[in-house]
Parts: sequence; structure tokens; C-alpha cells
Amino acid sequence: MMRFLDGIIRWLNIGTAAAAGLVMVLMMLHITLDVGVRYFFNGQIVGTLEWVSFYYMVALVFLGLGHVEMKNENIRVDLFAQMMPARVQLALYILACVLGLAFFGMLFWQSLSDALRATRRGEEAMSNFRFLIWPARWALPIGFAGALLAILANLGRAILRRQAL
Amino acid sequence: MTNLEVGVAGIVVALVLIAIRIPIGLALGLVSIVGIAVMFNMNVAWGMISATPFDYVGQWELSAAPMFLLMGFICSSTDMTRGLFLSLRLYLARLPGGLAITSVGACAFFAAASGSSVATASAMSRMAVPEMLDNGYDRGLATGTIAASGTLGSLIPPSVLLILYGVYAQVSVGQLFMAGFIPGILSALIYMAMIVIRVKLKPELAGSVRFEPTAEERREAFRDVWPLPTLILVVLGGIFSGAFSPTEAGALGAFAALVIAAVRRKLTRAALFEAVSQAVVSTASIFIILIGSLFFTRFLALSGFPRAFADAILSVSTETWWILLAVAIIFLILGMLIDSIGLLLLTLPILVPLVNEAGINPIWFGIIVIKLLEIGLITPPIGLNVYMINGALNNRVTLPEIFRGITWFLAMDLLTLIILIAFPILTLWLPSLAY
Amino acid sequence: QTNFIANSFYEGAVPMSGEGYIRWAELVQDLSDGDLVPEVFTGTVLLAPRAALQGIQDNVVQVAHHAAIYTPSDLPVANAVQELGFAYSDPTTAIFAVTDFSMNNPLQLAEWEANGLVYLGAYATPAYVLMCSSPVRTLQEIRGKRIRTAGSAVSVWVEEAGGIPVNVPSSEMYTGLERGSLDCATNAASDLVDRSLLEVAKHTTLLSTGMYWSGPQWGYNPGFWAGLTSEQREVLMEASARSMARMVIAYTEKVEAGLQASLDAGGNVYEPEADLADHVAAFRERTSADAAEKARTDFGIAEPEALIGDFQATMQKWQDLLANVDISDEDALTELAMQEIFSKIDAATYGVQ
Ligand code: NA
Ligand code: NA
Repeated sequence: MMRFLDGIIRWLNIGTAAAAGLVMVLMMLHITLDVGVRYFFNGQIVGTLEWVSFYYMVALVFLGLGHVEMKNENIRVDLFAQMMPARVQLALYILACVLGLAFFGMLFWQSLSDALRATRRGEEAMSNFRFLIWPARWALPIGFAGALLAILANLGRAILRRQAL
Repeated sequence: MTNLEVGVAGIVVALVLIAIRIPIGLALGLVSIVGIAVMFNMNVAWGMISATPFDYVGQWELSAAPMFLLMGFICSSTDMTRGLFLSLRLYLARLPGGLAITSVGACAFFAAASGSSVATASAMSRMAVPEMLDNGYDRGLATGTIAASGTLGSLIPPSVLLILYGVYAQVSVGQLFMAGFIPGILSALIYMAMIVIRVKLKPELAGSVRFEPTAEERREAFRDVWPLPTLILVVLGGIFSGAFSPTEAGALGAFAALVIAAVRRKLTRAALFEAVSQAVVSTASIFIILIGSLFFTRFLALSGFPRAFADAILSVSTETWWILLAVAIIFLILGMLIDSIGLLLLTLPILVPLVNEAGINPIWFGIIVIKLLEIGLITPPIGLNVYMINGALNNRVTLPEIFRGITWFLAMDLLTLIILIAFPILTLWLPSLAY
Repeated sequence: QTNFIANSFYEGAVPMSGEGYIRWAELVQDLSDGDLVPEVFTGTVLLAPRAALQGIQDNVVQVAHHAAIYTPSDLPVANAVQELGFAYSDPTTAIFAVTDFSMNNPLQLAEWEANGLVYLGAYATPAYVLMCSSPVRTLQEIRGKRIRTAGSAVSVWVEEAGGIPVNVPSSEMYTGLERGSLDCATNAASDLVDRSLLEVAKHTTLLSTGMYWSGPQWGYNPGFWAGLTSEQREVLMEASARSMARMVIAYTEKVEAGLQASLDAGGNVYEPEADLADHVAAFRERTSADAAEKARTDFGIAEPEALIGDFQATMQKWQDLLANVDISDEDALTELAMQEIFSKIDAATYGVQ
């Protein structure tokens, strides 16, 4: 059962990370195309700035969070912990997970209510034209939920193996 | 407790949490939320959580960072440095320590096509270190060369650290890139000079290289020398000539790297997958620290700490040398503990107000800060580049051996730092040409 | 003693922050004999520009500048009247008229209340002019030019005039003009000095392409506001009145200094040729005529004619009031604002729910 859940969480996070990768490639192509149109046709792709700022960057950053948590790729300082006995290391790791649950839990909760509110109001950004931005808000709760699930999975594994990840 | 005391307590707690292996972004973010709730109330903390991540992550200037990360990872996953390394070798083989000098040069080139130091060190260690070891180079020199030259990755543009600094200090990223160029090249040249002198004095350091390339090897070296210089021309040429903004240069650079890889028939599905997934992971792990740091900025600003800190420093003396000394001490101490991106984002909330108040040129200061951070990448006990190389070589060279090899490079870094501080023109000349 | 946090996202050099917050804070302290003590944050240290409204609502800051164009879906009424920005060009009239309107029009007042803020004064930019790397004086010369615009009305006009509206961050205006990815920027002429545009835009055309005033220069958190005494609120009103006078005077001086500096540096300042001026005038009339319709369709205002009519009437009222006033006289402007706006507001009840 544990392994099954672990697998589901892993694949969910790989899925959102794959979406983030796709967005990264799209962003590269979109900007490249914009520069090309400007140099060769003295034109522009309307909305490049808005798409990059409100959609690509947001999706790219937040959808990748769960995968980073799952793979324990967070930047942290290992030095002192490594000098501790294994049991202390496990305790510190569990502490990190609990703090992580609290932090991402708060971020998830607030960003979810922001996304709901933005959706209800049909939030827009004013630019040279009117630009809907409420869908982009949803990348945050999705990303934070992924991080929460990943931390839970890692916590479960660490406790089962009685070893810090 | 006064707000200022809460601010100081927050800094202490954050450092303790970081030291016991709590992820840096998490430590900064959580301390800020609790700190603000203590100083004001939970509503203000919720307000900050709601108002910060979405609105800051989408800044146009920041979008250059993932693009340059992608470009660098495409370069390494498609093996774009090999031909250049071989060619440099052909030319530099006769110099004392030719292979080490070749490595410094190749690192400098790779640095100009990569946004990060760790990526530079990891790409070059796989190629250059085994080559040096096989040729009887001193183990410390071989690994120290790559660890130190890897740090060029953040000084020579493009550079993710410079992008983050630029956004925080509200300085043009394009100008910062130009400012980093000469100091980066200067660092490389000083490393090279040091290697020549040391090997002249003690030839056994460089083993006994017998390098007589075959005609086929010569041809191969020349056939495959073009990719990196071409890419650098597109990216740095575009930024320096003013044709592209940094974000555009990053996107174009990543695209050009893909095209180059395709032309060289190195663009396999696996290579592309590796590059994109590394770029996604790096971006997300950097930005989670950035979000923590943005929280921390607000927390500290509300506590009044940056102002009090700036006043305390400036009350001793308002001379530039004193401020730089104070900053250097902070970086060298914290640099032992925290890696460069974490350290930059941890300290900028305090340093940017100080620099503004003291009237120091923020571009020049930025380059000094990056150089200090890069020194932190190779100082014990936390030297990210050192661990990276140790890992890439599967422990073939031990950590103490690498740190010993780095000592000479550290001395050179301090020399470079003194030169950069004594002659601001070295940093400010290129940006002044363009603007 | 009441300590509170005040925020404006502009850098200190811009009058909205310099006069409107930094000097304003000293004024508030003086007027209250040290009873009210604002701590001012300028720039984006505390809040991103788009997040200022939420910062006020959540009491992260107790008072802040908020540009309503950043949150069109939250503040439709303020944005609907901003659509008229193209029709006016005198900041002195605008700053007081907008304040008058925003503190008295029931629809606008309801919007402030619904969004959790207490409005206590306006800002107004000078008219935005064209700053270009090559001369743009005629319709012929504007054709095909890439023009950095901020806002929908002006970008529609640029398109109709044959130019290409481009949206880049203001931080990239300078480099865009320098490298030729932009031919013009529309901004206040003070940017010739403040953003060093005079180095790359040697040709300024004094063609008014609209001005900005939307949203509160001082938006207070309602809970904080309710907790103040009537005397404290009166102090803040007087501080608003004088600071608005200072802001608009300082901005006008900065515009003149910018134009002068450009001339001194060998730049040119033109009046537009007749065809270009006529084109703008025709467009201006059309946008004014369409403003009510736009308020209905784009911003969902139920009775747009009444709203737009009230706004235009208030603007006219202030044009008349200011006709015989020396608009560089800080005391005279302050006195007029006190007499016509703030003395008519009941400090005991205004903004208190
Ligand atoms: Na680099
Ligand atoms: Na270190």
C-alpha cells in the first residue's frame, strides 16, 4: 500500500515536472520567434512579455517544485549533520519534513484561496491590451501540493527505513 | 521584544536551521512567517505569503535565469567542449603545465556559455581531470585547477548569480554582464600565470606529458572547435552589442545550442531530456530559495534590521574599504557554511540597503560580491565545486587532496580581489563604453 | 504615539515617492507634533507594484500608493475613469479633481470600501510625451515606428496613427531606444533625466498622449483608519492636501528640467505638426465620446453616463477653480484643496464603517 502511494506521488510529480520542462522549451521558442520576427519583419509577437511573466515563468518554477522535493534536490547544508550519529540525522530529517509540511502547507492554503478568488473575479492584468491571468494562479497550489505530497512520501520512506534521506 | 530584536533572533534561528540541514529556502521562509507573526500578527504573514511568490517570480529580468541554465545544460549534455579542449591542447601543449592551462582556458570558454559555476566545474571535471591524472599531473593541481576555474562560470557572463543580484539591487543585468567580463578573464589569466610559474619551479607537478597528436587527431580537433565560440558569439555578442536583452540572449542561446548540437548529430533524445530535466530541477531549487529570500527581505525590512546594521557599519567609518572589509568578512565566514546562491540571497536583503546608503557603485560592488561568493565555492568545509569534482571522479582523489590543491588558487583569488578593489576601472570600463 | 508603515513602489526620485511619501512623512510628524510616525518604504522592498492593494487590505502596510491600472478587475470604476486619461493634459487640475471625485462620487467610494481601503488623495503624472531616437513630428514620420506604450488607449492610438505599440518593462526603455528595438517611448518628460533617456532619445515631441491618476496616492487600511482619532485623521488630510501640491509642483519642475537638459545636451524639442496634432485631437474626442460605452462593456459599469459625466464635471470645476491661481504656489494650492475638498469631509465618519 505504502509503495503504491509512493509510486502514485512519484508519477504525479514527474508529470508536473514534465509539464514544466515542456513550458521551458516553449518559452525558449516563443522568445526566439519574437526576436526573429523583430529582426526580419520589423514586427512583434504581441504579448511575449505577458506570456513569459505571467505564464511560462510561473508554471516553470512552481510545477517543478514537487519533483525537486521528491528527489531531495533542495539546496541544504549537509556538513554538520553528517558528523552526527545516524539517529540524530534521522531526527533532523524528520524535523525538516515537519517544517516543510508546515511551510508548504501554508503556501498551499493561501495560494489556493488566492487562485479561487482570482478565478471568481476573472483576474486580468492591464497591459497594452487586456490579459487574463487567473489561470496562471493555479500553478502555485498545484506545485505546493506536489511538494507536500513529496515530503509526505519521503517522510514515510525515511521512517520505514529508519534512515535520513 | 522589540522588532529589531525579533529581526536579530530571526537571523540567528535561520542560520541554526540551515546548519542542521533544513533546506535553505524553507529555513528562510518559515523564520520570516513566524517572525512577522510575532512582530505584527498572522494576518500580515498571510498577506506576505499571498502577495509575494506570484508577483516576483514572473519578473521579466528573472526569466533569463532558466534560459541560461538550459543553454549550459545543453552544452554539457551534448559534449560541446570536447573539440575546443583538444584544440587548446594542441596550441598550449608546449607550455609548462600545458594541460592545466588548457583546462583553465576551456573552463573560461565554457563559463562564457554557461550560467553557473557548478555546471562549469562538473562539465570540465569529467573531461580534463582524468586526462591530467593519466598524464602524471599532481592530484591536487589537477583537481584544484578545475575546482577553481569552475568558479569562472559565475563571473564570466552569462551568470545566474549576476541575474539574481541585478534583480535585487535593481541594476541592469546587461551592464552587470559586461562588468563581469574583464574580472573573469583576469582571474583566468592569473590562474594560468600561477600554473606556469609553479610548474617552472617544480616540473614534477606536471608529470611527463608526451603529446604527439596524430594527423587524424589534429583534423578532429579543428573540425569540432567551432561550437562553443559560435555560441559565445551569439550570446555575448548579442548582449554586448545591445542587440538582445539578457532574457532574449538566453532563449536564443539555448536555441542556438540545440541547433549546433543537431548539426553535430549529438542531439539525441536522451541528451535533450537530460538537459531539460536538469534545467527544470535547477530552476525550481534556485527559485524556492529565492522565494524564501523574498520573505526574509520583507521580514528583515519590517524589523528594521538592515537600517540598524547599515548604521552600525557606517558609524565605524563610511570609507569604502571598511565596508568592503566588513562584507568580505561576513562572506568568508558564512561562505564556509552556505553555498553561493543561498548566501547571495540570504545577505542581499541586508547588503543592498547598506551599499545604497554608503553610495558605493552597485555594479562594481556586485562583481566584488560574486568574486567573494566564488571563493566560498572552493573553501572548506562547504566547497560545492570541490564536492562536485570529488563526486564526478568517484572519489579517485580525496577531499583533503583537492582542498590542498586549491590553496594556491585561493591565494590567486585574493590577489585578483585586491586588484579589482584597487582598480574599479577594470570592472566599470566595459559597461561605461556601452552606456 | 502611533507608528505605522507606509509604502510607495516608486524609487525616491519620483515625486510620488519623494514628495508623496518621504517628505510627506516628515510633514505628518510635524503636523501631529510627533504623534503620528510613519515608517516609509520606497521601491519594491516590501510589496511588488501589483501587490500594493492587497498589502493595504491585509494590513501588511497601513497606507500605500496603489496604481489601479495594475488591478483592473478589482477596481473597474477607477479604471473606467482612467480611460479618459487621453483626454486631459494638465496634472494640477487632474490631481485635485480626481481627489474631489474619488472622495465624493458614491460609485467610486463604494469601490474603495468594497476593496478594503480608505482613499485620501490622488497622484497625477504630467502628460506623457513622445521621446524618440529620430524625429517624429508628422503622421508620415510616425509610420512604422516602434513605440513603447503603457496602457490600452495610447496603444490603440499608436496603432491608428500607423506606429507599432510595444510593451517592454520600463527598465528596458533605455536599452531598447539605444539598440533600436524601440524608436520612441511615451512617458513623462522628466524621464529624460531620471532614466537618462536624453542620451538615447534626442527628439522629444510635445504631443500629449495621456496621463495617469488611477488609484489612491494614499490608500489607508480601514481598520487602521478606524482606530485613529478625528484629530489624527484631520492631520493626515492636511498632509494629503499639501503633499499633493508639492507633488504636482515638483513634477512640473522635473518635466521642465528634463526638457531643458535635453536641449542643453543637443537634443530637440518639437511641437507636433498639424496633421499629427489633428489626428490625436480627433482620437481624443472619440475616446471621450466612447468612454461611457467602454465603461459599460469593458468594466461592467451599470450607469456609465452618470459616472463619466460626474468625472468630466469635476474636472471642469477644477479647471475653473484653478484659472486664477498661481499653480507654482504651494500654499495657495494647499489652501484651495483644504477649502474645496477636505474641509467638506467629516473626519469623524469618513471611511469609518
Ligand atoms: Na557564465
Ligand atoms: Na565554502
